[in-house]
Amino acid sequence: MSKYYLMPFNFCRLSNSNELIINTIGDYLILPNGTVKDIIKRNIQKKKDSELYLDLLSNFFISETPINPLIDAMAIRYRTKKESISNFTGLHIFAITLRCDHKCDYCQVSRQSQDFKEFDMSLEVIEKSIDLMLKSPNDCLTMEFQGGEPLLVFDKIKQSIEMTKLKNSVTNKKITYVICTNLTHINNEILRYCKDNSILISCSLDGPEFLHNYNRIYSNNSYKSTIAGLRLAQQFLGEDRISALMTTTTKSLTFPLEIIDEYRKNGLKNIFLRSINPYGYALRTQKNRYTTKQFVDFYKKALNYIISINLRGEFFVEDYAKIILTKILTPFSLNYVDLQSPSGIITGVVVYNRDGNVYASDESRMLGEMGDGKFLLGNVITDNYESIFYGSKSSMLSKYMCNEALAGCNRCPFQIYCGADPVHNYATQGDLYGRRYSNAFCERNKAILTFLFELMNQDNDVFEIFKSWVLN
Amino acid sequence: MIPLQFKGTPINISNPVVGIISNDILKKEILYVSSFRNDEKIILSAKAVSNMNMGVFGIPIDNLSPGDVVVTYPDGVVETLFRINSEDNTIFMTNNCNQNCIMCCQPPQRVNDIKHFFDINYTLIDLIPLSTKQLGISGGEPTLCGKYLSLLFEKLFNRIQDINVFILTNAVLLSDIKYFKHLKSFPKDKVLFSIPLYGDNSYTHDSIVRTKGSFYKTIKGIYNLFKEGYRVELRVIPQKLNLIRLEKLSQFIYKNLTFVENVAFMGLENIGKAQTNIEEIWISPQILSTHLIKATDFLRMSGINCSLYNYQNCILPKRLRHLSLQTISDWKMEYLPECSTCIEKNICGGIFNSSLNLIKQYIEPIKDENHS
Amino acid sequence: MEQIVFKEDDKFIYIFIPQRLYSKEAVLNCLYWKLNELKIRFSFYSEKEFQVSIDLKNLSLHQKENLKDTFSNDLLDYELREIVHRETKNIRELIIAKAFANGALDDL
Repeated sequence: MSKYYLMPFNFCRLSNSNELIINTIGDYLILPNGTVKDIIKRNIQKKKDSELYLDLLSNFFISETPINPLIDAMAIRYRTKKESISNFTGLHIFAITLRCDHKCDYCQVSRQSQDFKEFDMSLEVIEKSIDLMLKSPNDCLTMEFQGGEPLLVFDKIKQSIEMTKLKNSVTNKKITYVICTNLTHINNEILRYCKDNSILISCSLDGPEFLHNYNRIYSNNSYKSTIAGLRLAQQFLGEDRISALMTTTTKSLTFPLEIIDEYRKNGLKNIFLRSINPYGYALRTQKNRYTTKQFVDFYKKALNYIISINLRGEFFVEDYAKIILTKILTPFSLNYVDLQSPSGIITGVVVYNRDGNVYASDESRMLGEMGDGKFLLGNVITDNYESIFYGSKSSMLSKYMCNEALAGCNRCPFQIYCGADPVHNYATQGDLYGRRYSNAFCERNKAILTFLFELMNQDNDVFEIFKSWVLN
Repeated sequence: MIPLQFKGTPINISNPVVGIISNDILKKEILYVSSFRNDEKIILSAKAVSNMNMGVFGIPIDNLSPGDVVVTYPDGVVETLFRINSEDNTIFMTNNCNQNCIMCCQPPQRVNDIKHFFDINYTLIDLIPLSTKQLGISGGEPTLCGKYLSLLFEKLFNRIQDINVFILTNAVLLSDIKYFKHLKSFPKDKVLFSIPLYGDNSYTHDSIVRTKGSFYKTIKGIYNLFKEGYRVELRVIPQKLNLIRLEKLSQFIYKNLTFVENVAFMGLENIGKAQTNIEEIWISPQILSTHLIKATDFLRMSGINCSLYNYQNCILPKRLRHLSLQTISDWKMEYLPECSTCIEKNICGGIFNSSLNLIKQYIEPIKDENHS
Repeated sequence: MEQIVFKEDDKFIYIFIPQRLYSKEAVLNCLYWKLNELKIRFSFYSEKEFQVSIDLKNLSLHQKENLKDTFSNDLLDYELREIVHRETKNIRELIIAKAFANGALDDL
């Protein structure tokens, strides 16, 4: 029996008779069945299991002294993993109008017809929201315009950006501007302004024409106008300034390969396979209800296809996998608000609604528009920064924001890679704490994380592909 | 191979004298060593000359150039401290060391020499040209010199603001943050700490430096340097004891020491302890290459600079050659006769003259692009 | 009693778990994940044993067999997790405290 001390870690079983151990700072090892028991029982010996013993030592699973001599290094690693929270709110979403010319099935917005100007953000709300945004301690901000369809009020976007630039001459933050648009109203004048201000464009492309138009209903042909707008934008701004998102509907589940090929066809080098949030407006129709298992099956098919494309020499990335793989394979943290602990709501993102209401996240705003103000933090007209970001609502929510302190998460090996989503819990299960054993967020993430580890372990070529996506 | 130490017959040298070499336009058979202490010049020559009031004869003066800085000892030893025509000048701080590396090419000695070398180096700094771009600090272990290190650096940077310094140290003493008071005079952007790390765990690393506790202290020292804003690079010497964990070392560096400027993988120099212990440390180039490829591939993929020092192009697989730098100091470097037909000779770093016998069998001139 | 014992009547499956071998935390954490499919009751049967009662209503034969097959191994895994948690609680807290202490705890 050896004398060593355990370092904090958790484990789970992979399908092919392996055990996956992951420690508190995100190091992992894949070991043969029964090794965890041997580690705990002190059966691993330097003499007879030399390489394993050294692996465990070097990867911070065991220590030869009660306090690991490299504990300060571990603390820095842990701090680095949580770095995005110390920067605080970076993503500021401006829901600049509720007006839209599309009628997408899964829309999270209580969209209004494009004629009603009272659904635009007023100048006063714009100014007060910008003031709040610039009060964030984060030196790097993203100002993201959403809607409805933001390009219906392009003049307001210009006004907002100019006002931000002026006010920022005092605060001197690095600000990235993003416009989320369906691209039907894009034109050269808008693109010129985007180019001059380095604005990034994010659009929606659900897949090939029949699928895209089935989901995203527009008086003309949504697909055709989106593609035309995409081409124009790519030519004007360069391919790397445009990104596309897809939303998976029940119909999408049958066409993983076609969706990916559609992206490749249009000069896009990456895709974010997003599942629909199973609450709010998305549940208006039966059309978009599907199980987590159905989504995961779709995801696996799609990812396998993407991997085969990469193996043939074409660089094409799946963004959700890339986010998770960055957490697994690198010591760095990311600004992706949906997979953070403490949760990215408030600490990573806030949404300024066109009526001045400030919400903890995008989904929070949808609940607000449906009449549930659970995640309403305040209003830009009447409330100040402290009461919105540090007030009683925030304090109340913060109790549910750390997965380290949630049942189900507290012994999960993926804890350091995963996050807490009290909005999801509340919307799907009725309480902020959530019940992990029947929670779609948990089920989906566990399935994808397990899948990624199994892929990396089974096939070294796939491992190399994944590394090429995230290492530098 | 360029000799740096000579022994001749001394005339009237009562104390060690550090001085700068100059020549006599008329008398080609002598050189002068001028220090600023006294006006009298020491004469160096190959043969005895008349009128030598103070000097050393029996010195092959062809090996010295005007502008070089030497120290002449009372026993007739003349050592070159600084060569005007070289970019590889290193200041020697002490023979003492707090480790006992199995492949040490400068075997440590316990001798009270810190003040001795400080006095020499303090004078040396006044004599090097203001245009000197780079200087190395070495030993033994330079950090053992404590306040003397600080005083030297203060003088150096006062005199030459733009100089770049790299200091070869095991960082063990830097694991104590109190030591950093000695580094106050170091301008952080101009000093690079070059630190050896041989393994991703205490067993592998300590078995090579043969000093218990070194791994943890070195890592702690590296972290302290990082926290205080100093620049760090790592040196790895692949050998028998750490070869199979070489790629794992790269992974360890990436995860835990992501901030290092460079990782240099260095070839063994068959001198000193390395020579004594050669059986326990030597690995053939073929075996080395497999692990070296994996280790460097990983680092480069992760965005950490890496380079190969002291390897010959022909023994490296083709894809690694562009990482190989010409780093063997000119005074200990040689080529073999067959190297004259090699197409990469002018970009190859050559061979340690001490390792010639060891490496001879593997050397094969590169004749065309398909080699290796 | 040194092993897990299964008993059954027409209403429930009973699982008796020796406290000497398995901690309450391990049992609860193990049962937590089954709450999606099973209706479970947990109690102290005696000083030496926990009792877990699982409602047989709506439980398929397949689910019943699966439960019996996997329960012991599952519970063992959770006990292992508890052991690690207990042994590493302090060091974990120290790492996290140091991570956010901004240098104030560097001497520990």
